[in-house]
Amino acid sequence: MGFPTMKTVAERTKTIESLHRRYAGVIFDLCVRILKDSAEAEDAVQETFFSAFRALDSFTYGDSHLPWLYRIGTNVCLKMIRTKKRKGAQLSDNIEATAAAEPENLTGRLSIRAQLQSLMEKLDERNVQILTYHYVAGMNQQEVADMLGISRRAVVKRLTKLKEIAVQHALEDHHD
Amino acid sequence: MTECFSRFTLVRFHKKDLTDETHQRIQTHLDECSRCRDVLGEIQTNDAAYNRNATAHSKRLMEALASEIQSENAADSNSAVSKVVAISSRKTKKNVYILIPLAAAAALTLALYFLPYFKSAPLDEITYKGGFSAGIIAKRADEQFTVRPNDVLRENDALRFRIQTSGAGYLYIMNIAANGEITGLCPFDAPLNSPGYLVDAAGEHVLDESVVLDNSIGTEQIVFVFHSQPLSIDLIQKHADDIIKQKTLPLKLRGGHIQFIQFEKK
Ligand SMILES: [Zn+2]
Repeated sequence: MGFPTMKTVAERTKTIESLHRRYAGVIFDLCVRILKDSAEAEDAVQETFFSAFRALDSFTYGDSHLPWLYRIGTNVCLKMIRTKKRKGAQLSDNIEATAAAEPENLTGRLSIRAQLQSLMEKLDERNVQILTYHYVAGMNQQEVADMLGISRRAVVKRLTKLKEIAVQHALEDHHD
Repeated sequence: MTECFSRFTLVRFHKKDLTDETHQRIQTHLDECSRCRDVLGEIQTNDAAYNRNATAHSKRLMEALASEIQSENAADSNSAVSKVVAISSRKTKKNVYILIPLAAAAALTLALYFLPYFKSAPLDEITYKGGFSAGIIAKRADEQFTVRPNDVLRENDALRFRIQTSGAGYLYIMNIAANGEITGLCPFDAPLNSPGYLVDAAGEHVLDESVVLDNSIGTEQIVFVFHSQPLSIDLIQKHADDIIKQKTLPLKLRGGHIQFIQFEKK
């Protein structure tokens, strides 16, 4: 059974194909920033557009598909980090150990993945997402708010609360 | 010099995804800001790197979609089984850790997965109360059961939603977490301002995706809002507020139906 779909399969496929052609490269840019690995980022891009195909009927972000794809892409990457961590706790420990052993000049950028792993142990999923949107994907407060369908004030409040932990995890504030 | 732009804005600039006016403003800024030029350069480099193999990437995606569509078409009597097929056919790629296929996970407390392992449950497990009714089926290890109000659920329990309706209408399903945070579950990964999912026929419907509970604890609700007209953020928000405040049924919704199932997470 399942819910009836609003668009035909052919329409959905065509839409995804053209979205992939237009935006896959910048979704790759996003994924490679989070995952720090080109091959994994390529897989994440595939998974993002595959998920987008399934979710296309619920697309509700107005004119542009980009924020929506960013949201899916971010979630795909975070899930990959989490899943991989569960499967290989050892690996995660190694990354953490490496990160901890490096002096301060190891920037947040290089160890973003390790930092995200460590954040996942301390924060709930939504907070990790918000930190990723802001610090890793480089969205400003208004862009995060638009994407989540909440007020800018709510985002500011949340980011203020998370500021300390973000600093502890060497997340860089890029452009806000 | 004007203030710098966010990385995401520069991505949109690069994809010409902004109004002419904003685009021009950024162009002017770029002429005098090397920091933003560097960021833009990095975006362009990554975009180009992916697109060097654009044809191969596109082919891989289209093959995965074709396989998904094929299994959707075959999914008449048992969609759960066909999902497994769709998933395994994608395993052939080199990435082992995407084995748990994932959709756009949304939630503070819930993660959305495609669902490989629910058996179809007997239809009489949810009570049909004229017009609309909703139910949640839970799966824990090998055990499958209907969630009753105030049941205790645990981390990694998977939930799947089903509704029965006497007519067409718009459906929105949300989760209200212990801390009051609201997350849209249907339409898939939708924000609160979604008009809802169009259910275009009477009958019983089972949502393809499931949610998997995380390790947070407390009292949570899954709320089903069903209306003959497209939903509005005010309507959804209002009922969410009511539920958070009162934590009781019955709730009435003019021209529609609302139902929630409360459970404890331990
Ligand atoms: Zn600048």
